[in-house]
Amino acid sequence: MSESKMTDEHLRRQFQDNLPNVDADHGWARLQVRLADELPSGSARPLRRRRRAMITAVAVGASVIVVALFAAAALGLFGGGTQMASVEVTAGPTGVGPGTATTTRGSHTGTTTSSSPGTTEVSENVPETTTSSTLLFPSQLSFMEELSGDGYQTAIVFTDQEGGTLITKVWIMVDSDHAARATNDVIFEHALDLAEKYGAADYTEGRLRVELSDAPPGELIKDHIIESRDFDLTETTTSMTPDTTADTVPTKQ
Amino acid sequence: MTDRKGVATDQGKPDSGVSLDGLSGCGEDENFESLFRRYYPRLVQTLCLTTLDRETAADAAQEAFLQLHLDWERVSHYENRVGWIYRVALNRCRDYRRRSLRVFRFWQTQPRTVAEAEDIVWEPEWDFLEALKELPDRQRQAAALHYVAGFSQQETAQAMGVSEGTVKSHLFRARETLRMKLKVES
Repeated sequence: MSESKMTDEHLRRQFQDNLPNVDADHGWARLQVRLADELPSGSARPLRRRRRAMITAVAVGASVIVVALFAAAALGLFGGGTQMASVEVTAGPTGVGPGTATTTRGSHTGTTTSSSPGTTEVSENVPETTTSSTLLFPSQLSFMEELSGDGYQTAIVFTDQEGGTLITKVWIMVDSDHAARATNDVIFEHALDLAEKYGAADYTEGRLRVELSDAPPGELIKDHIIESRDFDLTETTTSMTPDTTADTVPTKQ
Repeated sequence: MTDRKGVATDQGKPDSGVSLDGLSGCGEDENFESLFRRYYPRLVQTLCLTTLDRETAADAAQEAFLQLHLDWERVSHYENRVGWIYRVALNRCRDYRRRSLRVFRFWQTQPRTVAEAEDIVWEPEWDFLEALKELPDRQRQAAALHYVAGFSQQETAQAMGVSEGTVKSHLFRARETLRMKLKVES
């Protein structure tokens, strides 16, 4: 047996010797209690309805804020500076589940979920609405509008803080069931082209993360990220997170 | 200019339709309860060794199965639904960790409750636990999925949402650290 296999086998035994004992019956009983709490009528519907109602309320509230901001801007209540700020986006049905997200200035606050205001027939239609407040970059709406194609559609653009650095994130909803959906490579390529064209990551000094999600209605977008890639749109650097993205098999020393 | 392919990050989940070979025994007609009884213990064990906290592990596993119950109609048709459960559970663990960092000071002064996780009895060897603590989160996660859940590197990559190369890298580093800390003779 090779050296590494022996080590592997030894470690496997160590793990197995130190496993906790889990009582599945107790776990099942606990889950039943939780299900009873969450679903008084014994169905998932009430919880979903509550969640949808909350999402709708959040979306409506966000829309009101957006309108107020635009009105304030139109009235000249804000200075004419170029300061970038928060993004809150409500994307309409995208064929695979739309998303609603709100962020505050410079950071993504976590009210991030997909909503399902529409029904099945709606979900098969062309995306409806995209509402956005203060923009991260001047042509953000064009960027979001153009970044769509066969089986994919931009849902949200926001900034996020990671390890002390700010990063621009783009969430793209993809329809995994779409027979002729563009490949992930094609979508990333498209996103990168447009990001360069519109300076999507200027605010975050070129740091851009594009994530593809196939979250269905009622699901958290982040739970359904199918692929995620980092880009650095500055001239010099080629990689942002080499430590978490090593693609080579390390050799034993 | 950046590589046009970009750099894969540590986010993501398996593409739908991608099956986890090691989980192929999970038939589509398997009902929710049997799926729970079959995979819950192993999921909790894996999460315990990932989070090093049985309450967090139990909560995350319960959340994952609760979510599965809510989405049963859809997810039950997934070929890789066990991978989906692991993915959701790992995300929940990450959420808890973020939250716990925010309330760290508060919890420092609070006695921990064990009532919630009384279905889990865990008495790991001290040396082993200390060695695991030395590992970064991602390495510990990869090691637990590989050694406890019995996932292949490909399945581990799918559950973690990273490339296979990244998993190999994590596993290699984890193995080296554990080998040294536990003084495993090669």
